[in-house]
Amino acid sequence: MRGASPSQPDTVFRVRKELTSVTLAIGISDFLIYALPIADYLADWGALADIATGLTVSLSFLFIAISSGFSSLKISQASPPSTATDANPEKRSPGNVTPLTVLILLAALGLCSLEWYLHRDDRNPFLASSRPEANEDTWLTADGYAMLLDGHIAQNDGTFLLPMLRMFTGDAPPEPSEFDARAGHLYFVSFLVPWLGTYWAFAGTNLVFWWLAVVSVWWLGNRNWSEQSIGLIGAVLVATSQGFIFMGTAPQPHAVAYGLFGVLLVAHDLLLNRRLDAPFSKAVRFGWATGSSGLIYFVHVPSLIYLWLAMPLRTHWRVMVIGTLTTLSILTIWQIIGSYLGLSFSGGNSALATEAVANWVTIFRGGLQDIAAWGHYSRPRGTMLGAFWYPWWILAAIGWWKSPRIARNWAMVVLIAAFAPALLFTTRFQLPRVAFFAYPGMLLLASVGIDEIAKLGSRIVSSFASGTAPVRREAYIATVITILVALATVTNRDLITGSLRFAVNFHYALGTEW
Amino acid sequence: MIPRHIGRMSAGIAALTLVVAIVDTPWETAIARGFFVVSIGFGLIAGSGLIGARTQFATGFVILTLAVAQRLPGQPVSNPPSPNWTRTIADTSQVAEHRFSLSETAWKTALSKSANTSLLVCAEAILDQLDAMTVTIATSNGTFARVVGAEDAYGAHPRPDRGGFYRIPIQRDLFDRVDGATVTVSASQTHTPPLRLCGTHSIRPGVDPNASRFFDGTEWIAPPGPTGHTRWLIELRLTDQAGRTILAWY
Repeated sequence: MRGASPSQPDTVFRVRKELTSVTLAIGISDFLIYALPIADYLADWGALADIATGLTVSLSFLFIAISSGFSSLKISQASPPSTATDANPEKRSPGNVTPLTVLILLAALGLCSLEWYLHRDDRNPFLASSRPEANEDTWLTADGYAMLLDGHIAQNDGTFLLPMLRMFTGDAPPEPSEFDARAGHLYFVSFLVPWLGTYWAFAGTNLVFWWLAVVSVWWLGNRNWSEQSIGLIGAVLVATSQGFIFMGTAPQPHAVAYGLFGVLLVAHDLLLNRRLDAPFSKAVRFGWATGSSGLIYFVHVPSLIYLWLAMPLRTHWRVMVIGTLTTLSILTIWQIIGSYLGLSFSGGNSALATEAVANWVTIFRGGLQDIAAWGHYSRPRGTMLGAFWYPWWILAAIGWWKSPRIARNWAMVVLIAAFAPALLFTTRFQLPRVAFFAYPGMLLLASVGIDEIAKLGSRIVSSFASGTAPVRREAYIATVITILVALATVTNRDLITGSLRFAVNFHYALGTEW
Repeated sequence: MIPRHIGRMSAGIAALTLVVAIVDTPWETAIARGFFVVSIGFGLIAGSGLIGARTQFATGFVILTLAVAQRLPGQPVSNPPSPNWTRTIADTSQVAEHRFSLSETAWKTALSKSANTSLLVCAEAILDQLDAMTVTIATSNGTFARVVGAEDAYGAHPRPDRGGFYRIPIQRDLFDRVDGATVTVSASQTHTPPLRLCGTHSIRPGVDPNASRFFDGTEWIAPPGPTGHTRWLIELRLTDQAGRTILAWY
């Protein structure tokens, strides 16, 4: 197996550390439950289990991140740095690209185009989940938080992006808004405006980066797992994923940022995850890519966390520092230029992260009682489940268990890089859309889970049937397709039944309900 | 072609992209575009070199093409029409009317599942101590009229000069086996301050574009608004036993 690696002493992650972290998190969470004051919300077991689960998952990721930091300090090999957090990676040959692979990849691209088209206008889940039937903002009108953009109904936050878009098309001078730090998104959109008009320029830009996400996940799957099926299943999962469907035609930067995160993971692998000749030049290039992507929306945060966790700290801290400084330089230069142009980089959305940090300070000052209550009021479990519903977690857990160590470690770093900012932000807003940055790790682990179940299915079928290779292969393919269709049915439930449940969960995060 | 030459051509294309992006544009646009051509455009061209020289060349060519496309004359980026407008109802001779079509399957299905029905009317005036607004709903099963006041305020009323909904519970029997309903809104008393009724777009497919209209004291006219498809912000809401909204309808 290409992704498997012999047992080695120096790795950033080890199963026993992860299991120890989870065990410790469960113990502390149980203890914290007793610190909670008597309150109405503790009246039923479901609410208690919600708090315990939220605390356990959050603490587990925190402890795994901390233990990986300590482990990476011990790794002393100078080169090669890592292959997905491993100090001694196996050399891998690039996967074979067969005509069937190309066909399936093209089908995945066609699938996300279909999802994109079917979820346009009033069927865009971002918009639909603001309608009164979502029972969140019932004081809004029947059409929800909507605007008319080129005659199309669209999510209304896009209104605030139009002045910046007009600046890039040369139609108007700059006007300050809450979203000026995300100008890179409008730079991309402005390419398509003369061809497609404003609504389809936003939607078309999203689609291009949705495609890039599909291709990136396919590439990362091939890179980290030996079976080619993992990357292909992962590509289909991205094409039908909740996050991209939710954002697909919204005039917002999220889909672009999701796509870029996948591209950055590929760039990290190509630049820094191999033998490092000219390491500082490559660190600058990765930092440049991360900084430029950060001008779209938030993607620099998970990308920098990934940079710091994915390689041994002791031997590669200079690369990490240079990459980080380059990233911050790009972001700062735009702020300086933007401020000179009269744009705004303070207040509004820019201040929300500061408010989240201030809320954490208040929580820690409140002691154990407030820390435990965070598990209820900030809905950490709801935030994670809003991004990925139960079946994806179950499949990812199977995939994590069955994956080779290097791939497992790589996926865990991606999960931590995406979930950490989402969980930290819960003191201000619960944003499953931020947690969805975990999609490359989560969906590839889920792909392994699907692959394992399909293998089991083919073994069971072959025990009853002739047991020939073609029969086993057909059983495998049938099982994979069945699971993929079932998962796509969940993410397309809004189209099939009209239910907004999963769109609402992705928009606002679940409450205490299970 | 030798990759080395392709590399030089990619660099040339990158430089040309910068020129195309900034020449003959307002200075603010030139500065902003210039920064992003260098940070993102050049970054993409350089990054694609990791895959190969030909990919790098193709990426540079695509970015140059997009930079040219960015300058093409096309549709301007216009502001969306305001979704919130108001019409003042100054005296009792003026009437706002909205006709609901209740024959669609979506309505009938939701009605069969609902426990409560209510009518929501948006007004900008402060309906504080005054009984400012009279709302009447008529179906083939009968007519229901109600004078609306501050106690009926529903949802967010962030500022006195902002619009907000007023909620009027309606007997469910009024909608049994009917295919339509007509709601009228008028000022209750001549001495009340002017009432400002809210309007918005009529977007949902299948809704009669002329479902809303206004009697200005002499004739029926279309409600004002920034587009041809406007409506009064008058909606029916169906809720279940738990008070959860099943359907918002106009």
